[in-house]
Amino acid sequence: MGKPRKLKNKESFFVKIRKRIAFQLLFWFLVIEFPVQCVLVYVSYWNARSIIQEESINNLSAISERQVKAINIFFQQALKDVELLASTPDMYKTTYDYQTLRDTSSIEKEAKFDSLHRGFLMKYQETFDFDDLWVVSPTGKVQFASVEQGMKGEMLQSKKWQNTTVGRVFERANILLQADFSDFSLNTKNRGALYIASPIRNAQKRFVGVLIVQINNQNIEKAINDYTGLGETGESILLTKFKEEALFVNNTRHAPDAAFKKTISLNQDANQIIAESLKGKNGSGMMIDYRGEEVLAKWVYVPSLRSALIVKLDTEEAFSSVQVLRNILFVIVLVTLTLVILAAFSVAESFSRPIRKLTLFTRQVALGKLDEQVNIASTNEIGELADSFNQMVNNLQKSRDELQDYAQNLEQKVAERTEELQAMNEEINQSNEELSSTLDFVNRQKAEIEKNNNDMLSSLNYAKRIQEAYLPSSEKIAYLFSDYFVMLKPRDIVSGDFYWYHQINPDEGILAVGDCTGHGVPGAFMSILGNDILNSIVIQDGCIEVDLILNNLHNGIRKSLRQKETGSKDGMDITIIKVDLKGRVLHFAGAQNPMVLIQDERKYFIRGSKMGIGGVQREKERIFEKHTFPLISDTIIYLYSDGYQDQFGGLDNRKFLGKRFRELLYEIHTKPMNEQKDVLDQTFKDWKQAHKQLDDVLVVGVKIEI
Amino acid sequence: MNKKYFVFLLCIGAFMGLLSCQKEEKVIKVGVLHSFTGTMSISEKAVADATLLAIEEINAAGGLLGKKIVPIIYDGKSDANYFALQAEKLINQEKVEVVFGCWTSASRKTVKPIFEKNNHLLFYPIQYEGLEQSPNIVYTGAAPNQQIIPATKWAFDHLGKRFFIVGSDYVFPRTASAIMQDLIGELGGEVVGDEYILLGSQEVQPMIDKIVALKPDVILNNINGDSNIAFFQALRKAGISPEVIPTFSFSIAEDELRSLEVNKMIGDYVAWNYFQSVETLENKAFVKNYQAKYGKERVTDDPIEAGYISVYLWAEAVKEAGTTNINEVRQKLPSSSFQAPGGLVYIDAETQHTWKTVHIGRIQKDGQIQIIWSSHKPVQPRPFPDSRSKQAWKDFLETLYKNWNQQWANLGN
Repeated sequence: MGKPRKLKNKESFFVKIRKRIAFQLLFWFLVIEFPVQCVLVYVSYWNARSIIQEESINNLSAISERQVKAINIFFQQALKDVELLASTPDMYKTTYDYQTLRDTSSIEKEAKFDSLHRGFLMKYQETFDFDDLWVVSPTGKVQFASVEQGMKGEMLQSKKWQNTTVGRVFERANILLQADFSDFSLNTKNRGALYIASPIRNAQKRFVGVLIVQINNQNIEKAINDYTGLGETGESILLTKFKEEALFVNNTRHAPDAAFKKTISLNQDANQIIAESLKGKNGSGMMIDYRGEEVLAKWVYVPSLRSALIVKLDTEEAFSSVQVLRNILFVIVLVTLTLVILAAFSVAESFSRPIRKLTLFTRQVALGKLDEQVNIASTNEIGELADSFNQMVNNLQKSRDELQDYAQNLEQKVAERTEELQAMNEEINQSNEELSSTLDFVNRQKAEIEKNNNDMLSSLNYAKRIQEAYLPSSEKIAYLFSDYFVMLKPRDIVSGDFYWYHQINPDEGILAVGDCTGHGVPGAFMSILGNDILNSIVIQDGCIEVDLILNNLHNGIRKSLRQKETGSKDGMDITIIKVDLKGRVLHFAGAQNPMVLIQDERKYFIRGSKMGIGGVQREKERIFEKHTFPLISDTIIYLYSDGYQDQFGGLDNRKFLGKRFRELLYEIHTKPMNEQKDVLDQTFKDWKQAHKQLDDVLVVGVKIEI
Repeated sequence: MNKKYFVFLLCIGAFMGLLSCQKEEKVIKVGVLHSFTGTMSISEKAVADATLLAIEEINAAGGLLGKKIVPIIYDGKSDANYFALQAEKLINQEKVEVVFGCWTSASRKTVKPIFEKNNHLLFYPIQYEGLEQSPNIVYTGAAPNQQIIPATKWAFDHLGKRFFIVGSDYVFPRTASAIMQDLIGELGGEVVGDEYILLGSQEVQPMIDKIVALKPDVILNNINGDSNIAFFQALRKAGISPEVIPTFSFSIAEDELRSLEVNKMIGDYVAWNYFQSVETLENKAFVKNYQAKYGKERVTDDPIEAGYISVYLWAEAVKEAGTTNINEVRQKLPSSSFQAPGGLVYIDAETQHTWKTVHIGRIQKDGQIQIIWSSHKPVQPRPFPDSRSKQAWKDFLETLYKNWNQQWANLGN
């Protein structure tokens, strides 16, 4: 059950991919292309529509011009016809004859004139195709009426007639003495009528009356209703202003019975164009006609008739070709959309198929099947990807083979190594046993050494105690000096540095500070030797001169160590002072080492002779200098070995140096001696820090109070 | 100078030049040619004012073809020959697109060849004697059949059969007189006498004496300019009031009445195509605007209205043509109409005269005119009265011209 479901899942996955690609393509088409196409279609449609509208208007304008021209020609011709008729001898003769009736007023005579003139007047009327013909006297009396015989005898200048269309057209002809049209109006039978009135003149051009004719309405229609170029829905309407309304003058295509019956209200907003055109405004554009239909129209004012001609065409017909275009464009958009949808799915399919193949292939690869190749016959990126996949699988297969070979070799090597290691292991085990016994031996040796060492240490500590016993006691030194300190820091357990003191008498004492060659045990031996020799020189031999003491010490060391024979270079550097409180004098002699003396804030640094005690003597006799100082006030004296100043340390691991040491002494000399010792001790520690002490350190400070 | 800097300056110069060219193109120059000095200034100044009012109104409404109309005003100094000189300048120096101007027929006839030679366009706003038709003149005043003939016929019907004709001695009064005499003859009336004085002359006494002596039923007055003041003073002095012998004047309208003693003219007659008293919405606005601009005491009349509508008719044709090109404007003129203060007007395609409604009125004590007869609708203009053939009229004019030493007025030489 699991496997088909997995397949089904895969299938739906690929369907999803296909759908997603298709919808994305479709989406981007709709976002980018579809609006542009819609705009193009819209613009094309409106462009075509406006062009057609312009062409239609131009066409309607041309038709209106043609019709206005035809109307003008017709009416001007009618005007001329009436003028011509009015100037014929027959006409003025007739008029003259009728005017004589004013004088005679004879019914018989009138009947006679009627029978005499009616014939040719009727003939004229028929010839010119008038609807009616009246002869009117200069005073306005209708003397003859061909059709409306009831008009005969009517006075057109009377109140009854003077403000009527007929009355006014007579009045104009009478005063202007030229032929003129009436406005369109309704006659006595309530039928539409247009009159032309013309003055009648005799041969001498004398004005004798007015001829009024009524134009045949059918002739008016003929002039207007020419539908050439007006298609199936176009028509022309001649409108005249009649009692605040626009009255149809002609029957039209859509209103075949409208002439002088149908009216359009001029007070409605929708009819403002008609109202304006009747006020003389020409124009063109779109309007709603009397049927409520949208039309393209051209409206022109016809001054001679005080009427407006509207030539119009239904927009539906005018724009029929645009409607076709619109439908075509609509179909194009639909077809494009359909094609795009199909193309989107097709492209999606062409993308997803190789992806599906590749995905299946990669899954096979993931399962370790590296002996297959994916076959996608495509030169596009997918094809390249497939090629790369195939290449990758080839490489993977090659790598796997190599790995397998390598693994086999490795196994063999591991086996060999294991054997070797086992052999080595055995050897090591054997060695271990040997080592174990050696270690026991070493441990035993170590314990022995440690024991020896401890013994040696206890010997040395004992030696140290012995050495300390040699050193003068503090009571001894304190006898002569009011204050003092001794700072002795052996490098090892026993020290090569030593100090020696001898009280000659209550006012005199000798103090020596020595630094034997070497340190540790050898140094300690040398210090004991030095101590003994000094005792011998001063105490036994009674030599209390410091220079001589050193001289004798030198000789004593050389002698004790048989240096002359052995060539031994051992010896010591030493400083020695003799204080005579009574004589208030101090003597100093030094072998290599100096003395620092501070008296009354004056600082003295006195170097000893540049010769040591013991060692090779090349000179005949070694003589040490003796320095003498008067003790005029309290005096502080420092004697010291070179261990302090030669100690390495500080930030740069350098020597402390003599100068720095002396400045330290100068700095602290006023402090009590024990404090001076603490400062020196702390300074030494701070300087040395973790460094090893290189030599024994001995500093002795004494204060002589006077 | 640095070459780049020089080129930069050149560019700036060219740009400024372009700008100035564009600026020039943004106006339409029109000529206004009337007498602001001399005897005719009494009448012509007001017509020029109306012309300028129309220009101002069109400019205030956004101009014409998006451009401002700029009037270039020249004085004809009541001298026909000077009119010709000024017309030439307006056309060839000022390069105006159209000229509105002239009053006397003498001035019009003198400038006519100039407009024809240059194929230019003149709007002539005054009623005149007719006998003329030029493709280069648009006549917005009355033709004889729109004033002289109906007025004379009406006078014949209502005032009497014996006429005395007076006029200034130049082409309009002489021709008007001829038309009147023809008509009166046709009607069976009688012209008992006709007398003329030089334009601007005050020597009216001889004609007054004749009127007094012949006692006509009606005086037909074709005197122009301020000679009318002397004429009416002398006429009244001679005891001839409107009640005794009514005068029918053809060149006196509301504006001229301001210079005359109106109370002595009450009841006299005039014939025009427009009176200030015409009851239309357009006229009320026109009078209001005219008086607002030029003063409450000012009045409007026919020539003033004609001067005003001339600009609008031309502007309508320019709008229709989309250009000021004279040939194209002329083609559009017949299809242009204008709801004028006096009623709808339009140009006749055949004659380039104007369809106008004819009114006959009587002078009232307030200087306004009461309409007593109207044609009720615009009358088609007929510049050539059919009392004579065109050739006969041409011969008539040539005789006048010849007799006046190749002038259109008797200059008294």
